[in-house]
Amino acid sequence: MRTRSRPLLPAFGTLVTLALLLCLLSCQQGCPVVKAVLPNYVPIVVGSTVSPFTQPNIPFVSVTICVPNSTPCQTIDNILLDTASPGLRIFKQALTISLPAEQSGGNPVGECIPFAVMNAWGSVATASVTLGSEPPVTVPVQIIDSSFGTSSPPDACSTGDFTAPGEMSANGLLGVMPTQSDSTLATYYTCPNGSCTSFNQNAAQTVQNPVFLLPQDNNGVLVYLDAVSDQGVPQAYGSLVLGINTSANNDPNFISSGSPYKCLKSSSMSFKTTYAGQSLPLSFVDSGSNMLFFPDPTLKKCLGIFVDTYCPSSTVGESATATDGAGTSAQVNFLIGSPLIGVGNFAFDDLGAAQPPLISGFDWGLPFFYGRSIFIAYGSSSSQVCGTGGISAPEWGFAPLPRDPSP
Amino acid sequence: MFATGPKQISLGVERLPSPILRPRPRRVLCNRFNCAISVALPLTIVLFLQSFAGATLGKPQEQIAKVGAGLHLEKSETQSAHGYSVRILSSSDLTVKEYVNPTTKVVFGVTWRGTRMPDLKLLLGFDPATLRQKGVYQPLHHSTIETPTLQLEMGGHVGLYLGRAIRRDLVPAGVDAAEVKP
Repeated sequence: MRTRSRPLLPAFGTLVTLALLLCLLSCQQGCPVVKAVLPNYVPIVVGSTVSPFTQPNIPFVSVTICVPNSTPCQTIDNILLDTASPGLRIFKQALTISLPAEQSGGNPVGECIPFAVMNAWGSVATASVTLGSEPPVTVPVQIIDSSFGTSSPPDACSTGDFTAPGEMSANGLLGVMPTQSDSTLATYYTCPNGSCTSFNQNAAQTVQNPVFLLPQDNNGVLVYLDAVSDQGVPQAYGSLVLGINTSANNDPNFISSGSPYKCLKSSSMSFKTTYAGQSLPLSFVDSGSNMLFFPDPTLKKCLGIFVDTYCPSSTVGESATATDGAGTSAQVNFLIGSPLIGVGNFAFDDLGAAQPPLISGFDWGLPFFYGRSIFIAYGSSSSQVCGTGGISAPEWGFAPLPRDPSP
Repeated sequence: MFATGPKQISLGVERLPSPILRPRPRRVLCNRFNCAISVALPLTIVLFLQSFAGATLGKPQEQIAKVGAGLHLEKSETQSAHGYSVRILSSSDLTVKEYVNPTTKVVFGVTWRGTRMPDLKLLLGFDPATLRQKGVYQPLHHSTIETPTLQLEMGGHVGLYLGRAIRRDLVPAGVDAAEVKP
């Protein structure tokens, strides 16, 4: 037996050597070290090559949903990670399984949540939702469906409703803002025979940010994106890490790698940004916006379809100061380049567009996230990122030179 | 939220006059993002043909009370400014201002600001969604639409909504349209 198997050994050794060589050649920064993937890790990709969606700077995650405590299940890719809304919302067109519809008094429940321009209208269903490798949580989710109900969607959703995934450039969105329920942000309806009338839904049956319902890793999130070159790259990678200071990959001290955090506290989403002499009190951090939106009449704008997008003839460095209600300030440096360069790229750290001046806000969209780790602490005493003594209000902390928390 | 291509599709009708006349796709404008660009549909034409009961913009001021009731705004007050008057309708979660031309008694500007989004069809008298192309990417939080006669800006995020609509052709002489603000 031994003698028969011997001739295989040199061949096997050669194969191993070849594999190692190939590996070393293919990974320029050293071969990947196999590390355990912690359950609170959810990969983010910007600009998936297999994605049917073609907008730049859309951060995608995958979410697995199941009929509660049962099957079937479906893993849905290309879900937009949104730090400025709560809850999971999935386009009806992206669903291949049938989730149990939420009911009130025997009638299906509908929901309208306005995003200021576009609105999400549709039914509410219950799902088991799995984020990363966390235990599944049972939570109401919205099924975005402009055809829900036989009459025209009521009130705010009478116009501007999402009708198809292409309008969001995503199959849905996962909202991880520091609010559990969308009860104060949305209107709920009972829809007997498709005719919808508003009613006050119990908080437990409203659409909720599933992170709050996790048995652990539920006190906030960390969003990290790799830095990208100014010309943009075809794809960028990052991490959504669930929880704050609950494991090695979301320890604020480890992630910051020693550089001090810049921190803002706000019980609403808004804080003030001062930019070019303008005070912009309605500013917020928003991974769901694919550009930085801010007013600057001195920046040249693009022509054609990019009207309102800034188009400086060469990339310019800008600076703004964010200040919270307690007077804590953080300076943010950023770049604005032209979107007309870098054909074939989908991840850019320098895209900006004009914000209508009446809004008086700075929307810190996805370009703000590249090369930063952004903690969103949900306001429990365990989720403190900045300072000491516990926190009672949500807190945004960002590390300018972060460690990559991915495995 | 969002931006780029399709955002601009819905914008700049005034700034992009030719596509209205020739609404075919302009391939030269396709670049790194996508080519979902049949730029600026002949939308504006449709705009003022549609009308909804109770609308105020471009309508006589008598309509204002009806719209206020439809939007569940209980409080009402009137303020005078140089060259126009403003009817301010409000509830605990939404404030709507109606700018009235004192000569023609017609509403030339409407603004909103609140933690609740108003029914824009009811408020404006037309459907702003008809100014956007269905099926293509739309910014969630930001929109500026300009036509020769209309300026429509919307913005905010979940829980905070602001906007204004101005009929430029109806602004009283000597009044700066920029005074219309939420």
